[in-house]
Amino acid sequence: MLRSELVFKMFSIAKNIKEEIMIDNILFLLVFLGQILFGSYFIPQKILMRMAQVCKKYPPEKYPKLYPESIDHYYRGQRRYKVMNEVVLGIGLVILGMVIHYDFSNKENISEAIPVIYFFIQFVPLVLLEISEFSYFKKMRNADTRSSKTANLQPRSLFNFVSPILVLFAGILILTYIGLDIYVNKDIHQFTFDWHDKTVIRISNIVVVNLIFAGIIYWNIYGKKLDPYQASVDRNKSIAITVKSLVSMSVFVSLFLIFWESTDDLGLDKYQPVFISLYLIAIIFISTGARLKSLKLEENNFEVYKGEAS
Amino acid sequence: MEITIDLESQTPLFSQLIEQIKLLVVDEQLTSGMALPSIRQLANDLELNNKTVAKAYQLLERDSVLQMKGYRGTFVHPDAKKNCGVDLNKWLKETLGETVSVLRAAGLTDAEIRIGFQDVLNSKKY
Repeated sequence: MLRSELVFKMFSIAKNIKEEIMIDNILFLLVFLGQILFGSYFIPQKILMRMAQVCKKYPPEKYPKLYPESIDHYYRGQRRYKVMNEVVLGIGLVILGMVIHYDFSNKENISEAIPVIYFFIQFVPLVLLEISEFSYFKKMRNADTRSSKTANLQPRSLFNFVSPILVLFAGILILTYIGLDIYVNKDIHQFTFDWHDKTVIRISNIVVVNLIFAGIIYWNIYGKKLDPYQASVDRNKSIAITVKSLVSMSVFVSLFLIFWESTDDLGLDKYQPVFISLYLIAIIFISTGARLKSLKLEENNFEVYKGEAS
Repeated sequence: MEITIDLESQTPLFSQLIEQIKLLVVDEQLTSGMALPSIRQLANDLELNNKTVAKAYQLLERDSVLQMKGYRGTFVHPDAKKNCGVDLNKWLKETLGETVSVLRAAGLTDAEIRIGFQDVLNSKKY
């Protein structure tokens, strides 16, 4: 009896350990699948639908200024974007399969680098789309031979587009994270500035990321108008969405990093890949999804693109 | 409230800016204390050189139509509407015309007047 009880107990313990490993891995698989589908299927589909809607509602015959190149050029760009996202989606599913096969059969902990590396791959089609958009607007400006230029005399500043409280909150969170990282990982009395130190690297990363956000915000508010025909009202709307999105991203990044510091202490380190993947889904949503949702085509003034092409 | 400039007009761009801002002040679309965009913002929006907009703003400040308060921004002068009627260039021509008339009456030639005028402009004394 004693021996069978012992065997039963050992079997239960082994089963519990196996289940415990499986739960966080299964959770990661589900969340990572969500990241793959959201970032490489759902969002690109929304973008492609928006592009198709523009072509259908505002065709080149009636709105020639919107098309500095032929409509076929535009369609080719859309197809390229679609194919790139399909390839990235395929890569994601292959990575998922490899994770299932390798990590599960070896009962390894899933590396948190997997969702991060895949995230950078997911962003490639979007980055290329943004670059092609710059080129597109440049062609519009070159095609614009109007001799008169118009500007609104309303001054633009940061707080015209975002609440000062949100900006202050973002600033406080950045400082909170920096303070927390130094407090948790370093003895403050022995802290020395060394570029090879992980704390210094992490702090530098968050400072650089926020400086990049600040640069993009500045350029949006004060920089040259990319679309030469865009009405000032639409431009201001677009700036507001971009600024709010970047400030929100800064808040979210800081909150996540503060939470991340505590995962080891809370015994949640095995769920770190899950948290990373969730975080990246949120980044995709805040950066692109929210923008798509806020910028409604029917609220934009497309009359400015009518008339004879320059 | 918009401002439009014509790149193909004979009128210099900075003059067009000055005229249009003065018109908006006279029409009370720009009122005392209202903020104007920064030089960089207006230059980028109109696709002009910063120096063109800076020159227009400086001349408007000289005419007490605008007040430039450094990092705080540029604002419409409290007496802008009254000062919009003052045309410094017209006053310059009238004053110089009277001076030239006096000098000619004294027997000086146009060449002497021209040399003397150049010397006065180049002198650090005035």
